[in-house]
Amino acid sequence: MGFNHYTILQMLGKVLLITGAATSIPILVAWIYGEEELYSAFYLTAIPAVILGLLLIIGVPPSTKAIRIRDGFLVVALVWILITFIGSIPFFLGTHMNFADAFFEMASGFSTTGASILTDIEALPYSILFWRSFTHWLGGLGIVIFAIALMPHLNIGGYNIMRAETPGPIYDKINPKFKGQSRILFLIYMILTLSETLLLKLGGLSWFDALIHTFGTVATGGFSNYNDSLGHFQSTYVTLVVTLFMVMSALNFTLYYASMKKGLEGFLKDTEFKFYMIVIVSCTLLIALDLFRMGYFSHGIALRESAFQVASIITTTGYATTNYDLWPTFSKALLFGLMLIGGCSGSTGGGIKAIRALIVIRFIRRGIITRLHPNAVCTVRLGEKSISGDVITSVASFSLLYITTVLVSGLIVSADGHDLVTSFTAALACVGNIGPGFSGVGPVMNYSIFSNPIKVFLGFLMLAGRLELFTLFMLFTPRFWNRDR
Amino acid sequence: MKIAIAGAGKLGMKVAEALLGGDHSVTVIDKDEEILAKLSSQMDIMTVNANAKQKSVLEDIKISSYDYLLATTDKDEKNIIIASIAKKMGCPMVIARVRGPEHMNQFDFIKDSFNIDSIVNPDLAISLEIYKYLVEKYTLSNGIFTSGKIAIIEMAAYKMPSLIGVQMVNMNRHLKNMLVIGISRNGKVIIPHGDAVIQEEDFLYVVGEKTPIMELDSKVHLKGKYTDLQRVMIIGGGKTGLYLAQKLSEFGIAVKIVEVSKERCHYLATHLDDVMVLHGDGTDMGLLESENLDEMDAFVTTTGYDEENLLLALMAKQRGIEDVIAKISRESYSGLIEKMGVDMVLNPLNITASNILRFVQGSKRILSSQLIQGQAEIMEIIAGHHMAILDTPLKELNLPDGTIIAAIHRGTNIIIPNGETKIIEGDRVLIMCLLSELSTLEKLMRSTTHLGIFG
Amino acid sequence: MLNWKVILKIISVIVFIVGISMVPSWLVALKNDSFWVQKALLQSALISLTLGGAGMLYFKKTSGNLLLRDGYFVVAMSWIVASIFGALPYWLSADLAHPIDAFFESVAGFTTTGSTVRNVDLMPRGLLLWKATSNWLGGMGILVFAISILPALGINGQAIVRAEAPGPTFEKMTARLSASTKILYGTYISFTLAEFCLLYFFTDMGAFDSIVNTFGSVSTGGLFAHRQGLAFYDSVYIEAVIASFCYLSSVSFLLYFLLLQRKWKEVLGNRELQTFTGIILGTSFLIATNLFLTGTYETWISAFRHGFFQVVSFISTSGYVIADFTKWPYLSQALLFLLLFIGGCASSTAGSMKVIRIIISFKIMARMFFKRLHPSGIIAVKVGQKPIPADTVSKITSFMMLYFMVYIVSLILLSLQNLDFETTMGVAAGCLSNTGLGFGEMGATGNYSMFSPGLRLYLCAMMLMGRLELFTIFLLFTPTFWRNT
Repeated sequence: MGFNHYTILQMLGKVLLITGAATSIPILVAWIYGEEELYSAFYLTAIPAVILGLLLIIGVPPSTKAIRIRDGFLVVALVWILITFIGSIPFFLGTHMNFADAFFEMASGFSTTGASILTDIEALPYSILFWRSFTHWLGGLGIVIFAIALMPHLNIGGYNIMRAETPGPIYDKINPKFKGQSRILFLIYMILTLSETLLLKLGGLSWFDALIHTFGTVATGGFSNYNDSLGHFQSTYVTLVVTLFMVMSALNFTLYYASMKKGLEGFLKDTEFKFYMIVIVSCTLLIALDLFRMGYFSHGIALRESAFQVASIITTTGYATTNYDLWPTFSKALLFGLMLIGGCSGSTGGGIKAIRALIVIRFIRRGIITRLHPNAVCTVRLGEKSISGDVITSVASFSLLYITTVLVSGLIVSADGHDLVTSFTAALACVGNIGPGFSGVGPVMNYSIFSNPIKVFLGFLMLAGRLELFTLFMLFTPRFWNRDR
Repeated sequence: MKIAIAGAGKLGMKVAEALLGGDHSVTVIDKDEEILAKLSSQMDIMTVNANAKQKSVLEDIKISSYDYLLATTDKDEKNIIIASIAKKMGCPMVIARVRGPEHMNQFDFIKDSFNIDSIVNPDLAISLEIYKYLVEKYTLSNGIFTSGKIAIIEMAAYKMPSLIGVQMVNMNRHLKNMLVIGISRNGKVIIPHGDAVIQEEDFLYVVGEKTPIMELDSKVHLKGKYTDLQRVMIIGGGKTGLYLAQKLSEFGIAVKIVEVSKERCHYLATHLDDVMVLHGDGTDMGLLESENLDEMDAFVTTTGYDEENLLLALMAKQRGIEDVIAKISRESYSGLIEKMGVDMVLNPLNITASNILRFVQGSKRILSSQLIQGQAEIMEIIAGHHMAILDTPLKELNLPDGTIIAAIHRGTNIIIPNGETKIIEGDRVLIMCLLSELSTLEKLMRSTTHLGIFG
Repeated sequence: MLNWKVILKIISVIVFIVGISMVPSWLVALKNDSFWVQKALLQSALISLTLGGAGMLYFKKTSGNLLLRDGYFVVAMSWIVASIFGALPYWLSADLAHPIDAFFESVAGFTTTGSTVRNVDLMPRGLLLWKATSNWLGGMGILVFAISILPALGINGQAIVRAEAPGPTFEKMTARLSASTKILYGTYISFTLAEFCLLYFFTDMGAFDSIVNTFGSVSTGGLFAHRQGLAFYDSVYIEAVIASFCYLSSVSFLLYFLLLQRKWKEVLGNRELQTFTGIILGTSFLIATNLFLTGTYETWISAFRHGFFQVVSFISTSGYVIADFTKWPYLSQALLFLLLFIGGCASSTAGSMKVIRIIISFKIMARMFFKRLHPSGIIAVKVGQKPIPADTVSKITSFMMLYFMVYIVSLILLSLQNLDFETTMGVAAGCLSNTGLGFGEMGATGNYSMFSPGLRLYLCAMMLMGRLELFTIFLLFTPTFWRNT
């Protein structure tokens, strides 16, 4: 079929190695909390993975052929599916979950969705819960970036893989020293992780809780180790800290890099950032008003709850402090709208991405103008930069694909016997890597209501969303396998 | 014969050259004074510096006294008009060159409505040749000539190992009553003479009486007349590329065509079904590689630049692609190319010129003809009286190198000629001739009476 | 600036036409209804005729060309004005006391949405016929009707076509616009007559019901003659006839023109038609199987009968009801919901996005997949053999984006009514697509009185937007439209 088998296998080998190594970390947690019976769940995963990985790395001869686009797509897709499978094994071994459940939970973990099939989270052992949230953190950065940081010889190859992996439209400035870029991202990620953990600890959480929720925030994932999510803590401080970090994690990481040189100006000049902030602030105010008006909360609390939930949904994290499914329809509708936007490009957030939403809006505006003035030449601009026709087409096609995917997936889920709201919001919540939706998949519900095949389907949907749809869907098109047409 | 050519372009000049060899008188009409001046100093032609579209011009040269008019200006529509007007003014036969793909499906309609006798499309002609080469691997699908008594087949030398290493003069021992009239070696067609030796990779064109040929055929028949060609890459999305891509894709082959002009790409994408159009430069190795260059079964270069076509073809050959074909319009390169191992070099002008010439010869003399690999032509002619080739033993005829008398059909007999054979009036003679030597052939076929006092 | 004189002349013509169309309803009222109703209809007719006639006389000498801007304006205003005058009968007869209710009813009529704020069984016959008439007029387009007579009035109406055309392009069938529209209306009228005969002569529903049902199906308005919709008749024949005409009216009328010219092959090979029919059959099959397997209906045939009819009703955006589909299994409901976003073919009386746009969207998405694998590749978007120019592709994309955006925004605004989320989702989709049905609380036979007057006004705007393909109404609200440059 013309793939660069050697390089692909090499990559998979490296990924196996890393994932295997990662699976051994929870053993430490198990040791701390005295859960010896769970050691085996982890080392039985870690050791075979590591060995197999080493075998592939050593045994597969390095390829002389260049890595090409199709190889890139295949690698990324396979890698994500592979790590999900590997990650499921400890779950499968360590709890009573069937494999579909484990797969779902792990897909949810690595894709930083945060949807869960667990009905009683707190009943699970610490090490398992740690692993569950740790996958968020790992997924957040993308295993592939790690692999690339360890593969210096892939210049052109690195670019190809990045095209497949990096979230966000093509306009992102790519640091010419690609390796350098991934190191910077890693650094920022670490800083966010450490600072939030410390702040949460200061807020009275145990180290474990702090770490778990940091993992969930920084990766915009949403797993908690408590059944009522963040509502468990009943603390305004905690709510605010998490809100802040959710938003920070959903901003374009390259802006942090830029701000190191230019200060706040880096942020303020970015159109996407401005758009994002406007949306967050206005929705927070609107919802707060609505909640207050309808008598749900006092104005102070309404603002707090509103800010948190708006941030949680738009950043696609998915934490909840109260059951927003009970909120007035207006607030819910606004949240629904936010689900469609997602995080900023170049962040761990999911969804269509704010930049695309912005481009679409400007594109529509141009459509209106050109209908009125058919001969006008009107460009779509973001700030000072004008967006080329190719990028617009790409963005528009992506948006169409996104919407179609949600609609069709919702259809498939409804066949499983769930009402319209549940089906469609579940689809949206999975593709957008948000986690909770409304009704049957509301914040106090869970995904155990779905049949096993649907769970697996939703799992793949989550991965597809994380990989910006094309990468995973590509594997199912005949064009991908036939190089000649 | 008197022939007028409107438009002093490459094609026009090629035809003029060939016609001059046949001792016809040629008049060239063109707007460009300089070109005409250069031409008249090189060739024995009459030149008229005028716009052939104008009736007055045609009147002035007394077009009705001409036998043929060939319109080969730069624009199709001009050609059609010029030809049509000439016809109306009394020129017996008119030929127009029409290149545009829009007209491809309506040649007959144009001929009817405008009263044009023949339309030639060089790009289509060459695409057809390339197509035939690639797909049908040039096995003669109909190797039987008019009378039905003479047949020609193409066979691979390795199918009859006893032939390998044999000299032509000794051929008779192995192939009784048959003659090897052509060898296809490395994509080049050679007319073999006495000392030529058969090599292993050669393909032989063998002529003979029908029955023995058929017997031979059943022994050496190449199974699978059609190749298992699956993927073709074409560089250059001009008319030739377009026609070729279309024909190949109709046949079910996966075609990728690379074109440097984005606008042209859009045109191609709109007009071609099931062909992948790639916007890029043919010299961009990265692009070609990422589009699976190494797994291509055939590689065809049809850009507008001979140099580029040549270099790309060579590059492709180096990478080990089985069939590499280049379109070269300039004669001067063809000698160079064969040394470098490109499988096939086609010159659109040669092909078209031969088409035109064939038409001009008229049905009086040529009974039928066929192109071999776009490089040589087999034609059956009737030996008219006063032809220079009459009544002379073949070995004394001084036939040019690129020509060979394949067979003679006399009355009800078939004669496979040897050095002693003579052609007499009324014979139907089968001749194989390289396209590049057509003009020389013309000389042979002309009436001796034309020479008249010059003997 | 806008060409006021010509605009007002055209609007006068429209008003006049509206007036004339009221007369039959008045005649029916004379026979069946109370004095108030008769008076109301008479008054409305007279007012319309007078004002319209006066306007026509006053501007009799006016002739000229309409610029693009004028075109949009005239279309938008005509529809709004027609709806206002059309609301008079309801309002004056005190049948619907609130002017907004009356306006809503009128808009629902003209935009062929078919929704109602009241119980149809209680509606006076005259008014019901008037509503049906407004359906009929709005189906083909009031302006299309006007265009055929505009040249006689000395006006060049080319600009109007752009604004009112139901579909991405308006292909003329003949050289003169007026001739083309005459053909359209000719076909339309023939359908009307044909269906009327089929209903009147072969069933016992009587003339009145026949007319109402005919007007409703040919215009794909879906007006009920009885509160239970078509379940009232429980006749397969009636369902078949109505479904057939809904189908026929949602197919491109240009195809009928081709049929008249005996170009069978072209008609059968029309991609849009093929896709449209395919969707109907496929969805019906799915729903039928779903209904049968879940035991909603006893036999597969019965399930197919109900499923098929409902599918045709939804996709033609007429909005007929044969059963309470909100009680159907969720898969069927989800399928019907999605149909609301597809709609009929272009150049027909149906609404929503139109099948051709859906087809092209899929091609656009497919092209993106291709582009990712072959970045240098150029691919033309083709429907059948016909290539679609890039400009049209761009327009179609912006339309679809706008459609979804309007949907989401409407969802948010309508949720202020605080109905449950599912109902709101359904109402928004139903109004924008001019179908008139909803899900959840709106149900199959619910009515819009659940919405506050303010929101009902917004619903009117939505219905108009949907009917006029979004941009026409939208443009009026953009500053660009009013700016002189």
